[in-house]
Amino acid sequence: MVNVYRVYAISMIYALWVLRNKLFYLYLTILLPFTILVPLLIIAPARLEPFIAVGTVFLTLIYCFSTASQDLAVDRLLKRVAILLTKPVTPLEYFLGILLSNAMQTLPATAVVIAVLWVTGLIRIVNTALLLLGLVTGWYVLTIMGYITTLTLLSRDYHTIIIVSNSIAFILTFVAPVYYPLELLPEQPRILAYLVPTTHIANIIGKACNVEYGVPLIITCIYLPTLVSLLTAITLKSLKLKDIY
Amino acid sequence: MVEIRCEDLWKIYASGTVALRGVSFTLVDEPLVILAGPNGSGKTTLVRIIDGEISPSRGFVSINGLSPDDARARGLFGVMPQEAMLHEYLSVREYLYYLALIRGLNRYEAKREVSRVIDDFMLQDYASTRIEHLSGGLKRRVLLAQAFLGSPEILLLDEPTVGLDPEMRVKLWDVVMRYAREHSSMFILVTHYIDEVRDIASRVLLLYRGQLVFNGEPRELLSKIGYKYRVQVRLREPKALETPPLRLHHRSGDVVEFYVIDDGELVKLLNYLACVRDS
Repeated sequence: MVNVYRVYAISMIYALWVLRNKLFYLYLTILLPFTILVPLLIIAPARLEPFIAVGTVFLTLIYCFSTASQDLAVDRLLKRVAILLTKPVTPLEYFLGILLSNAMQTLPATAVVIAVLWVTGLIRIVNTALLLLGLVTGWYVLTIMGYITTLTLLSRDYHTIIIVSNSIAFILTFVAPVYYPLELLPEQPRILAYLVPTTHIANIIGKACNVEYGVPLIITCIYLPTLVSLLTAITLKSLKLKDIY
Repeated sequence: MVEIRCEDLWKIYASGTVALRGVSFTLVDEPLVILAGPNGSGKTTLVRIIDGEISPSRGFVSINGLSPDDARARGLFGVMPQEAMLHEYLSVREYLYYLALIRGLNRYEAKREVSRVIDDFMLQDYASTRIEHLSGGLKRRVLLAQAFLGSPEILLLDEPTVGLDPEMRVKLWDVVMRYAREHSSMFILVTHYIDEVRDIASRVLLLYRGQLVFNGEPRELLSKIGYKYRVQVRLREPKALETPPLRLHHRSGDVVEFYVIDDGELVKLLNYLACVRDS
């Protein structure tokens, strides 16, 4: 049984750190995506512009991955989690708190970025429901991946966790076909790209914005629910809250 | 009823350090337990195992028959860890409020509880201040206050008076005793300042190099590990000294024997005896 107040309180404890540091928040969630968008628009061929726009939307979501993994790493480093561990928090409530915190931090920035891209004509939304599905899936999958990544690395020191999680975030965003279509990859890496979750998240957002990545929607529709079920089961069954310590 | 049962607890860290070596004891409705021992004796490890923060390498703990991993068991605890950073960007009131919600209180109860602990720990002037702007001692007070949220049945306080000023130390023991009376809570105190609480403790657990070397009443401990002075007083009047100044004493007929820990206590005792004699 989930205590809603508890989930809300956990989410606020984590979200307020970023929401209170307004300049830092604006930089990470809004300014950073545009500092990458503008140079890419200048140097990339015109036909890649829609992919770069979708990539910019995605970049706001990858923040969920980094935040989920770094919140846990910092908590462990500073031993802040000891206070939560000694309260009647279940692993599910803790995870839902992190998830809600990420929603509060990320989704407003994503909405701002989409609005700017839409007003400037860089993005054309043809299916709002599909766009929302893509954003929600991205938020959930990236949060849970960040969470599991750090829990897997917890025997390592703080710096290793941060380096590995940032490297994974980079691969998920810039190496996977998010800022460019799948066809630009050679044959064998293309097969590997099908296994990367961000390929499919970008594919859904792309389909909602009439940007064709070249990934059949049916594969995405099979892949993402399977991944979500698998990651959720791992989080809820295999990992104990005290593993964070 | 509150029962804490530890059976053959061993803790061997990944570094190879053996923190606990077969510790076993049972505590049933003890009002105030002192967990003592020199640095590195395993006190904090034992507390962390009891409150479910870490698992033992061997052995088991049960809290009213529940594993410490069970959220219901953790719901019985209020814990002040020895070292833990707070979420410093929150104000004192916000932080305590969110922790009260996490403790399982509803919004109304949480607000009431926060006001109460803010009063109890003299944090009124800092309630709206961000924790990052507080001094070290005040942060310790916040850490202490959060343990008392929701009137837990078991309070585990690891070195609670370290970093507190003398006034706050006295206040802390007042709060502890009041809680013990009002809520029938069990207190487990990890402390180096045994002299501050030995008169009010019901049991002492003494750890040495990971082993439990003593489990009994404070007076037994003193008689085993020694005391600085033993003062025998023979009474002419049997009703004299009905309320002796030291709790650690033994009365046998017209003889009262006091176990005196230090010079200060000896002076206090002699002054008292002089007053009684003169009156």
